Amino acid sequence: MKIPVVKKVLEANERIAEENRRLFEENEVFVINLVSGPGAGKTTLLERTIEGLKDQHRFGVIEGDIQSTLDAQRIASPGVPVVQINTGGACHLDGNMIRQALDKLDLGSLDVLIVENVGNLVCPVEFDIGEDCKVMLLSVSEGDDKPLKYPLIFHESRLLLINKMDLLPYVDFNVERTRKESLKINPHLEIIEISCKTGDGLPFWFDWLREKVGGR
Amino acid sequence: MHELSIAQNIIDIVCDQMRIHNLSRVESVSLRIGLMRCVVIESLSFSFDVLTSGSPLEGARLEVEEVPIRGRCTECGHGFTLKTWMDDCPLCRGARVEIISGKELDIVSIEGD
Repeated sequence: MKIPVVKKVLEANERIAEENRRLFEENEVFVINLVSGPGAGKTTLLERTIEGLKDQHRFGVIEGDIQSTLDAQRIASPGVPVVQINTGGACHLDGNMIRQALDKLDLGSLDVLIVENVGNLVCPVEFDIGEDCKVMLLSVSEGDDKPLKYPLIFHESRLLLINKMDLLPYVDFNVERTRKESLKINPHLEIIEISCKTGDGLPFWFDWLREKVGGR
Repeated sequence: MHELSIAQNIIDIVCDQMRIHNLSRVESVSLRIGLMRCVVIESLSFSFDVLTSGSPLEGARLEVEEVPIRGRCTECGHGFTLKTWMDDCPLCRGARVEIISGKELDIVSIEGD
């Protein structure tokens, strides 16, 4: 007997993600799903961002890692609630993990929630967590072949931050190639070049974030 | 390794359907998976076999139809299959292409009794 089903394989996750999204909207929190490969500088970006904007917006952070609380310890500062999720092996966060983390956050007292996903260019893209948008971080030391190798993450992100621009003289990374290939995959993608180390470009990222939070 | 999570989601849906339709055995599950999903079919089948071993689903086969990536030219509206990500519109050479399929991840049918 053949039974037609026609269901989305990830519908269970998508249902929970929609519930999360409703909660975020009710509480007027702008939520970013921050994705990148390991070592691109997600946690440093968070540190700089909170440092630069904490007088203007109330931040909350969810840290996703396979193990350890190292990132949560780095972010922890007065007035910024941080929840660490340890996936215990899973290579991504999903809607349900975020749902549980939200029990430990007072959404009503936040303007921006940044979710630092597990460092991985493939799996986090598959699992909606209810975010407003994905922001992708790519560092120049990872190589400029990433758009063609991992197209889906470029396709699904709203903003691409190219980080570690201060290392450009020392690595073979063609910024123009990355821009061209990323835009080919996603014509709507916005791109900002930054260096979390020197601070170059960060004001453009702050402006971008300010505008999005204001539009919430 | 998103294949493991995907396999678990497939199993959850199939188990629900087995209850609804009173099936005691499942022979195969048909899936449509878009190439943008970067799902490695061998890993998915392997994960599915491991997770179903010793359960009523043991021995069920995954039959996957892979869906090509199709785009539409934002200039002239022409729809075409992308062979590589750098393809321009074959009609007007327009460089801006919107993706219209290739992200599917659906269960289509279940065969069993």
